[in-house]
Amino acid sequence: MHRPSRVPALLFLVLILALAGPQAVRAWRIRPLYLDASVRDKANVALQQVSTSQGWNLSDMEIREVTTDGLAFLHREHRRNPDPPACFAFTFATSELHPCGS
Amino acid sequence: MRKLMYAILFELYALLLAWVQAIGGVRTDEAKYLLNIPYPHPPLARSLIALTSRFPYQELLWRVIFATLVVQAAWIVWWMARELSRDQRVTTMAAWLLCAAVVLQAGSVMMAPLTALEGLLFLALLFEARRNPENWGPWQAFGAGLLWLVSLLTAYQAVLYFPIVVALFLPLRFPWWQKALYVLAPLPLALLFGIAEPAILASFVNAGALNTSLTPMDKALSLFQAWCVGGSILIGIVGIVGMALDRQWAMFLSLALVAAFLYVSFRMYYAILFTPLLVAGMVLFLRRAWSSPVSVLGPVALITVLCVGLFPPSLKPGASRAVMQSIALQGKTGTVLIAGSFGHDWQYESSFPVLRFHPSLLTNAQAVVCLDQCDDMKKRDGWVTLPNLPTEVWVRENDQ
Repeated sequence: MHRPSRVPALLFLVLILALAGPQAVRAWRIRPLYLDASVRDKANVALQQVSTSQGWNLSDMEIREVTTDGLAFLHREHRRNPDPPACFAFTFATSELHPCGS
Repeated sequence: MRKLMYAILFELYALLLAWVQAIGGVRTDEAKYLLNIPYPHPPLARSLIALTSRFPYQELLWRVIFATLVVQAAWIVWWMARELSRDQRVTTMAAWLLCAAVVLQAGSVMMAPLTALEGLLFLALLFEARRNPENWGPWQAFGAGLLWLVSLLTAYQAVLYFPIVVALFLPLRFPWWQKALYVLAPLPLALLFGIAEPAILASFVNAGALNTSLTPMDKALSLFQAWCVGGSILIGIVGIVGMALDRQWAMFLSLALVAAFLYVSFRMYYAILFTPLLVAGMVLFLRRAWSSPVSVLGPVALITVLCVGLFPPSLKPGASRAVMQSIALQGKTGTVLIAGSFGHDWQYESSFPVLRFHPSLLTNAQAVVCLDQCDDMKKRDGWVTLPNLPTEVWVRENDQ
């Protein structure tokens, strides 16, 4: 008798989990930012350095992955014309910026 | 037929408010949503807005949509007040429409008016849940939970209405785990969105430090101004009395959360977050006491006029539109470099990539906008200034 009333609630739970999944993966990939102060400092310096050298706003760079060696981010120009993101990786040790996968 | 006529009149009013906001051009906060820049809010609303980025009148489109949503929300007030007499219902509806915060914010492409609208919906559902809890089936509860989820994924300020959402679900006759699921589960999800995007967390820290240079007295004065605008003073007084008479502690708690938020990170456009609470309080007041429409609406309209005079909407476009249009008219290609701190409106108005100025980037640049001093440009060959602009702009000299 109570079973039908559970369906919307279970559907809501599925929706929450479906939305949480990709975000949890994203958060996991950048966890050193929150767990390791030295990586956080290096990432901060790296982003400032890229911002100055490339002229990019910090808000135009979406961090996608952080490791002890470097970070990867998506850069978007954020303008009204077609604006596909480009992925870049930065290595802390060498301060090198290069496209992801190269 | 009469309701249709009112709806058309309201729409004309919404168009007027949208037009007033459009005169001032795109503000940096508006550009943030129009361009889907990933802070300070979760991505739901801004992603939808960004789908129209190729639309030539994107900004105007969303001004009209937002103004329409806020103005036509008067019908929600009408529905909330359905136990009142016709005159009283018209009074509450008009109070929403004439409130200074609605007049000043309805046509802006900001998240605050949307959040206020969601707050009004929660209050309408709260009134309904108190009135007829037995009428709530599982799908109605699902709908309310979905609205809560959507609100939190639209703007984090929706959390200020958390006490209303709790009060809305409490009287419903559902198993406790279902109520907890609808009310609590969206909160960690919204937090997860923030954790996954560090720019959101960074903007929280910045917002928290926004008023640190102000004295407690200054902060309290700003908060008072926001309350005045949020309820055009009279709705504010009547609304709080109505909440007290009806012992609506959830509404009081929500009001306190909005006040605390404004105290910490004041922006006048947040004043509209007070409005749904105060108008709902007014509905409660009118259940117990009656004033004639003229005695309420006359002062409300007068105070709104005063508030608009004191905190007028910007009627002068910022420099970004004029400058970017002049650069586009040069018919050149390349990036636009900006020296000094600049808002997202510069990105929104530009047809070309906008970069922060650095001498090494001049090779691919067609123009340099000097919001800060850029004396260095005077020494460079091949660059000339554009005349009659609100700020110093250098473009490449035409090849002759």
